[in-house]
Amino acid sequence: MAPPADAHAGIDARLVLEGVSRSFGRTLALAPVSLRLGPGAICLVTGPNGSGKSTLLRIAAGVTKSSSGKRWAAGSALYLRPGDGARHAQTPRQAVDFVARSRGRDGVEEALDAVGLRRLADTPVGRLSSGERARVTLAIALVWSPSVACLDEPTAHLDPAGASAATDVTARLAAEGTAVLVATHDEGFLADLADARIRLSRGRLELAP
Amino acid sequence: MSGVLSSAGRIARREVVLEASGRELVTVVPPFVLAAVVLAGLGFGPRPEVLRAVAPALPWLVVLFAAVPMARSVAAAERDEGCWHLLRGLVSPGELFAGKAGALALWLTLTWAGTAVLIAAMLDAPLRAAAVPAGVLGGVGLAALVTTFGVALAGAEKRSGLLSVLLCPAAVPVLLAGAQAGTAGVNARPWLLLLVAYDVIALAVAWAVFPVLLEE
Repeated sequence: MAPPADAHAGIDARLVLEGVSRSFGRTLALAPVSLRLGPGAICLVTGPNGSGKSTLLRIAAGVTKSSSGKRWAAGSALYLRPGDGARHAQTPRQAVDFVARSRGRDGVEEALDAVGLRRLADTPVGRLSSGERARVTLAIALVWSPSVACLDEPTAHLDPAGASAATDVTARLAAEGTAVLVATHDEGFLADLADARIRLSRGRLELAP
Repeated sequence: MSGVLSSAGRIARREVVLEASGRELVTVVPPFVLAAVVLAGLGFGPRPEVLRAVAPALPWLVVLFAAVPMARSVAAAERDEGCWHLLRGLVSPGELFAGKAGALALWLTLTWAGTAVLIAAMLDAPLRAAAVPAGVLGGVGLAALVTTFGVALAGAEKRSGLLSVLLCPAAVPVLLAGAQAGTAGVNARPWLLLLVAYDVIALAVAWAVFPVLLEE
């Protein structure tokens, strides 16, 4: 097993994965991975398609059970892909407001502003472009402010301004103490902010080059 | 408990808002109900005694068939539009079940009521008063059933077909008790009690298995 990527060793952990793996039938999607993220840690997960990035994030968020190993998260965990989180018949404001109310938080308008969606806040999500839907997802992540955020390809479909908003949202989440796990093909994304970077290949963990 | 009810109410309200905006069920269910009542009138013929005899069961048959497209709103539509993980992370399984089943009970009961009104108006076969509590009780029990099956089959390819196969035997008590409770000259009390028992069992089983169904 490759050595664990330990982003914030010695601090109170928000997410601990101990040897988690996942198989689908005889196919190994993810070989045992260990990871520990503290409050505010940002960990990038890179690797080619089919390398197990999404599987790792889904296990980390608790939406997929691991075949082996242990997962522990302090508080709520969130898994989002671009465009997730809002039904087509909802408006961005309704979708973000629903999450905010469920979490007992304010800041709906602020979150919409942060991702540049104020102008489209009352347009049904089904009429938005994929990039605009990705911004709705970012606003949801921001207003949710979970203990652990697993963002799967957050810059997919986004233009440079959107990618910049994604960087800002990730930084704000980390500043609020959220441990952020980000799967990305964009090697430059969060390059300056990430505390750790791990690389997966064919479901196996490699250390970053 | 108040936290569960509050979260469930938020989920149910979201369902109502989604339906008000997307009109997914409104475009499917009312035309289906209208067609079913018109075809029943033609199929069973013009004799009033025949129409009055079949009228108590007719709304339940319509509700059972309408439940199949309604089940999509439980989990399949959420999965298709990338909201299922969000809901699972946002509320507990019990809250999610209560909210989804509550909204579904509303749709099923409204469908039953709409069908009953149409039958009274178009076939001149009004239901008796005891049919009303049966309509509500049956709607609750069926909602528990459809919510459970809707989650279990959300990822299935032949979802609609499988749901019909599962729903038919499981919903037979509602069909029988609901029809009998609405039939003139039949003591409604035991049939209403049967519906209460069915609701208790359906809700208890659904509540128990729902968290397991959410695991991937």
